[in-house]
Amino acid sequence: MTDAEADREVRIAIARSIKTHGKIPTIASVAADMAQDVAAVDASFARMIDGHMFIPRKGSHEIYAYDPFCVGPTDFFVTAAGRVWFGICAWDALGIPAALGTMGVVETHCADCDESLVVEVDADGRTDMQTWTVLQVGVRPSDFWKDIYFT
Amino acid sequence: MLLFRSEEHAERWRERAKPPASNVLTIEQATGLAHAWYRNKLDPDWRRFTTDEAETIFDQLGLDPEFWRLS
Repeated sequence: MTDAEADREVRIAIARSIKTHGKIPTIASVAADMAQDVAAVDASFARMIDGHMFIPRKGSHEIYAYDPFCVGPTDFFVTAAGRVWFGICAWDALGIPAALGTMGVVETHCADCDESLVVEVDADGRTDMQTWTVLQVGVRPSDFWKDIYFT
Repeated sequence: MLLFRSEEHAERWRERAKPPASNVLTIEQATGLAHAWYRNKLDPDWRRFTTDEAETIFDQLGLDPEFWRLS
């Protein structure tokens, strides 16, 4: 099996854990799920980090955010598919229902005044609520990965 | 990427926080972007968008091409 084929199988296992268990898996749990050696899965995680496939915990190959899903907790709560999820930012939080193929409710607060904000999105990514609400991007997209933890 | 009650609140935060750059999306643009970006993320054959594909998504949503240019 090539590295690319191995990484695809690991990505499928990560996705399966998220969809089935509502959890971002650890290296050890992916290895157990795939009946693979932990070192091989760790190497796959390292390659995916290099390829910006996910955001690792600092100083680790473990996943912090398999965007749009974050291990959390964060300021962005999402209720979708019968579970509560976390996103690292508004873009990701709004994308969690889309990734799950369902509708969802994003709860956060205005970054200026701290007032609660609730946005409901349908499975097609549409909302008819909060039409005055806006999302502000504070980093140019071409610079997102220069410091992904700041972004 | 943060949410605000209105553009006025976004502007007030921007003056205070002084982010390195700034672009404001309507909530419809934001939900459309999130859907286009992540709807296939858990699919077995998901892959990262190419630069051209990403910029096409940004264009289709009417995002500011100067701010959202990747190439």
